[in-house]
Amino acid sequence: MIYRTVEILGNRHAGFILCLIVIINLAAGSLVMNMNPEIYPPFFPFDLKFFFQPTLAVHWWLYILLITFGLFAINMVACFVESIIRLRTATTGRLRLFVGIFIHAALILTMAAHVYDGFYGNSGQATLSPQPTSIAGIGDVSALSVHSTHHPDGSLKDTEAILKIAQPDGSSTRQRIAYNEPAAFNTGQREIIIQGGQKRPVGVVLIRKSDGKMFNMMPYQPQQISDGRLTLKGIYQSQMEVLIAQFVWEKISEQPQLLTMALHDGMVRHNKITVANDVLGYKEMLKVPVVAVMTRYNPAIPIILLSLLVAIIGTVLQIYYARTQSS
Amino acid sequence: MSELESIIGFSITAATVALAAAVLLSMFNRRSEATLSLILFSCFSVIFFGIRAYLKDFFPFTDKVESFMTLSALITFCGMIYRDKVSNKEFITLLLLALAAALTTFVFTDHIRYPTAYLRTIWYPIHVPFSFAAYAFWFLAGINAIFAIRVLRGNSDGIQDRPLVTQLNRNGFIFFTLAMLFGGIWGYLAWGAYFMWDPKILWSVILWLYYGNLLHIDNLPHFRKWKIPLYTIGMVLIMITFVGTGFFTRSIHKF
Repeated sequence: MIYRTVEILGNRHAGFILCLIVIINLAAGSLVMNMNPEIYPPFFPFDLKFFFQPTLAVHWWLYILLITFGLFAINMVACFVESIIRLRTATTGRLRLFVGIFIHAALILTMAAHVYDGFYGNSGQATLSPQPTSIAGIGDVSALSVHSTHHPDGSLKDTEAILKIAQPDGSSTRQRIAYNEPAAFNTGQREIIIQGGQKRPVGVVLIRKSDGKMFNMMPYQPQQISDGRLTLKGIYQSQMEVLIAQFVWEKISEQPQLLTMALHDGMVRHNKITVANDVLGYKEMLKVPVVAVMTRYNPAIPIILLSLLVAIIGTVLQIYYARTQSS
Repeated sequence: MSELESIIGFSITAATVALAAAVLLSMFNRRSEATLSLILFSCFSVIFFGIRAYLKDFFPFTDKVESFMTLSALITFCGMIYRDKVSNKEFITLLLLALAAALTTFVFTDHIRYPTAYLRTIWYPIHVPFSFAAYAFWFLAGINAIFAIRVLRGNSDGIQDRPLVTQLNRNGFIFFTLAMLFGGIWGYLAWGAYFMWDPKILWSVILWLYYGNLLHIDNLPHFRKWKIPLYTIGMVLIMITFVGTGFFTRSIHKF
């Protein structure tokens, strides 16, 4: 009775037709997505929640796809079970049966992983700097350094960043990330993937001409100089694309004074300010690493790793089987 | 730099001429001369890929010109491997397909650019040739099927006489499975996802399911008569996957 049920559910002719329907369904989905760019962002990760929040008539192809793929999966599982039953009694063609079992098992596992990831996985964007950013399931992440290399024509070759990941218990680790080299956590279920990085100017170092003393000026962190205090208000880009720093000089019993400085070595007349009868010149920029990353959570990674292993075994067996057939 | 680029231009032209000569010589049944032409094609292709690899400081499979040339070379090699198992007409048809791919390279303006940061991984250069090798095997299976239509003339029992179609499909399926696995690993490392809703990736899944499904057809008595038409349709699906999604959709895969 059970064997008969498995035989009906795993009818190979039905499986063949179901697979063709799935293919037509996927092709229809491809066309619908291409015709509706305002609804479907290009190259977006496998997120099934997208199709249900909210449900839209334009997603009809995916709703049908879930049904047809579901039926196809039932058929394949039944075929899989039947093949295992047949394997116990088969005296010839066992290699072919093994190939089928492994490849179908890999496909079933992949489909299961896709559904699991599609409904329970998530993606996010973050900009990491020396200030810690809390990332769920990973910890407080900050960027310690960023470095880019370029091709001779100036195009980007690679960007690598060193991240510090701090845990609530006070412990911390360092991770290097680069293009195609993400930081992976929890057996790969959580990832931090680099999308770009640069050193961004945040402050300026000033040098006092009279004694060579340096002042690290960060925004809204006043520095006491002689009998007054100097505050960096911000750094802006001029129309001529020169960086300009704006300062406020405050002294008791005097009106605050707004001062500007060009942050450029070559602009000798404008890259200095005078406060308390002393000249403060531009020395260098204070830069911090800023790294744009994507965060991914995919709870189905253990399933997909198992699927990968099974697929590799199945493919190796298939290579061996193909050799026996061609000879 | 410009001298090397001139050599690239010469090598691609010479390779295409050698391939065209191989087609003509095969038409006149000049087998050994055709073989010599194909060896010349291979030599010029090696020069083409070698210089581009040197200039790009990476594997030369990262732009349209290289993609079409890779496809042309792999179709040709596939034809050479199976030359004794297919008819001369089938062999010529396959070479014509390879020639069409080689000629397509002249449509594009060839600027040698360094690969983007995302492409600089070992998974990419093994993912691309493996998928193109699968296309080559499947194209030959399709050509074998097209020529079977004339031979069989509706007699589905004769399909068992075409085991080569299934054999070619199996080889293509192995290569494409490996290409999908390598592509998936690359996707996970570069974008955090082994599958994305991108036309090229979606159509690759379609192609894998389609040819995987066709591997079963020999064991399905009711559907066996559809074997030849379905393999013929398969060639259209490859063209959509390779050319259609790259040029007529919003795919990130622009080759």
